[in-house]
Amino acid sequence: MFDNYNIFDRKKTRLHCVITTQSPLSHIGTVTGNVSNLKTLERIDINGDRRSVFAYSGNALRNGVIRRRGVSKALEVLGLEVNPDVHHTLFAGGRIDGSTGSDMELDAQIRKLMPWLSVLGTAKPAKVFGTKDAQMVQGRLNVGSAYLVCFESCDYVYEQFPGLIHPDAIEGIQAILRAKADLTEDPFNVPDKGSIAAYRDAKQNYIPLLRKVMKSWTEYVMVDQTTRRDSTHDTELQKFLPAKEQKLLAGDGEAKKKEKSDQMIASDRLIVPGAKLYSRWDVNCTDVELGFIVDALLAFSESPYIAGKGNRGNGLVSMQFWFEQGIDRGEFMVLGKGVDTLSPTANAAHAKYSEYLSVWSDYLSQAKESQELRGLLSA
Amino acid sequence: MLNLRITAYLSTPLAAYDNWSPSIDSLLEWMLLDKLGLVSPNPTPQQVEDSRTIVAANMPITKGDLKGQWYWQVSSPCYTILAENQDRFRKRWEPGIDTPNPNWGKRKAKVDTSQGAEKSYDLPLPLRTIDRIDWYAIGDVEGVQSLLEPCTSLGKKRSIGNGQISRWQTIPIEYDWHLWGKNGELMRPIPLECMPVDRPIDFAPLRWGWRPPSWLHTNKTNCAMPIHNVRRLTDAP
Repeated sequence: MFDNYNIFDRKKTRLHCVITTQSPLSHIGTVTGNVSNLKTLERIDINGDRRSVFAYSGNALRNGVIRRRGVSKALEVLGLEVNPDVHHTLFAGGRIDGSTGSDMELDAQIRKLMPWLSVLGTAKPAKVFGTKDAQMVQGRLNVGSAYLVCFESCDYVYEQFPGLIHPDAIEGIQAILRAKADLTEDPFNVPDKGSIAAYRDAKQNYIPLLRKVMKSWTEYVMVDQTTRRDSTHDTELQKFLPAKEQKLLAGDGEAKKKEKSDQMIASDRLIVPGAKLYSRWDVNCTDVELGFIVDALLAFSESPYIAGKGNRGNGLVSMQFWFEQGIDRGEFMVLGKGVDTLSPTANAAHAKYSEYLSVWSDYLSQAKESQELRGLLSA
Repeated sequence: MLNLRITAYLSTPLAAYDNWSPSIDSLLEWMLLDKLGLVSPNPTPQQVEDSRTIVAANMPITKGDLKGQWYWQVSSPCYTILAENQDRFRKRWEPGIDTPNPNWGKRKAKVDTSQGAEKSYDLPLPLRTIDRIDWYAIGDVEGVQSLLEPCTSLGKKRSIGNGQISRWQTIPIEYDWHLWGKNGELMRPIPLECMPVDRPIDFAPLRWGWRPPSWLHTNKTNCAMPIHNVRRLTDAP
């Protein structure tokens, strides 16, 4: 099976992921008391200052969106159930729990039979996939954190994907970055006076404008306060309590021992709807593996929620992907806007993956007792 | 072969635990083996030995010799840390919540993520904000540049967006700074016995893998490590 599938026939693709929040977005970094703060990453902004900026972590995108949705769908299509060890290896990234092997045949077999693991990688534990040693399987997909497009991240976003930058800010960012590059071109020598003056001038001329048109990330934050009342205080609901408890609450008989109330008030900081986030994805993979990424994203778009507090409708997003493959570039796919749109490039990769899965399914149905396949999956 | 300056321009913070990683000779060897489809995630010493001939024939860096010991003529990474902070990375396993239920078989359908084989983790990750990393080397401009182009990120936890590279630049320079820098400072790890004794040189002694792959015990020896290659903004006078 898959004799013609060459796991080394790879292409380097860069995907530019633009996330637009459709509802408030909650992604908690630290919690102080009853206030949850957003996750931030620190970076040096275009003014040279150390600043925090909201970022949706690459780990959450990679594992929450691609790994969980994509691998779930593959197992569902193939009708496979796996044991807990394999499940942990597929969905949690596994573990190294013994001496580490370097079985290249196994590495090739995993990549050939499980493109999802080839893309995402795993730490294969001992005894999983029919071999006694633990082994690392290196992934082929790097997913960057999704930075909020704002003043603090504007130079980063500009360098990766300038189309997302406010048109009025482009000239200023270009001028400052150019002046900065001249300053640091030879780090072993002190920059000349002209370069220093040009850098100062560029900052002086353009930073006020950039601050005005790009906005700080804190201007994209809203606060949502939620309360949860103690249900035993609700006279309508007290009737469901045991009679003895009801009497105590009503003040009859002996006094009720004072207990801590279950009432709660909490504040969440959220990113406002309509904000844009940018994440850079680098992948060096086969067409089938790229097709798996497309398939995972399509599975995600069936319920396009990211981050926390989805029970309150938070985290609804739409996503737009653009691609670069050598000199080819263009739109890749659009998700979460009702109808998913796939470009010819995304469509071709997805078709190859679908064809791959259908060969896999046929093989499984024809060789139900295949020791090779079932042994590998411990299925 | 020319004196080179190899520069990686970074757009996101680098996750690194020491001042001598990433080493460009290890990266070039890895990229070369990856290009040839020979890369192994955890090679045995024998596999490393077997790949020596093909690496030696294709490596775009010149081999040097220090008291009879060969090495690739490259410096340690040189950079200025603009800011340091700490991020966290997490792992969790919740079978049946947002993934399908496994086939529990004879095992009780219970998960303990607080201990044991399926333990969740929430670990600190030190991050360094850096504009650019420079390495000095002796080699072939185009060979180095073409091998490095497919490398899109550096350091630890690249898969979740750390150490993203916006571009690579390899240019010829006038001076050879791969071993001794502009002011005579040590630029790369070398075995202690190879240190000159005719002048005082700043270094830190450390047992270190000074040739790739650095984890291989036969490549580890007591080394003199450079201490001026990584600067902090606070170091400035």
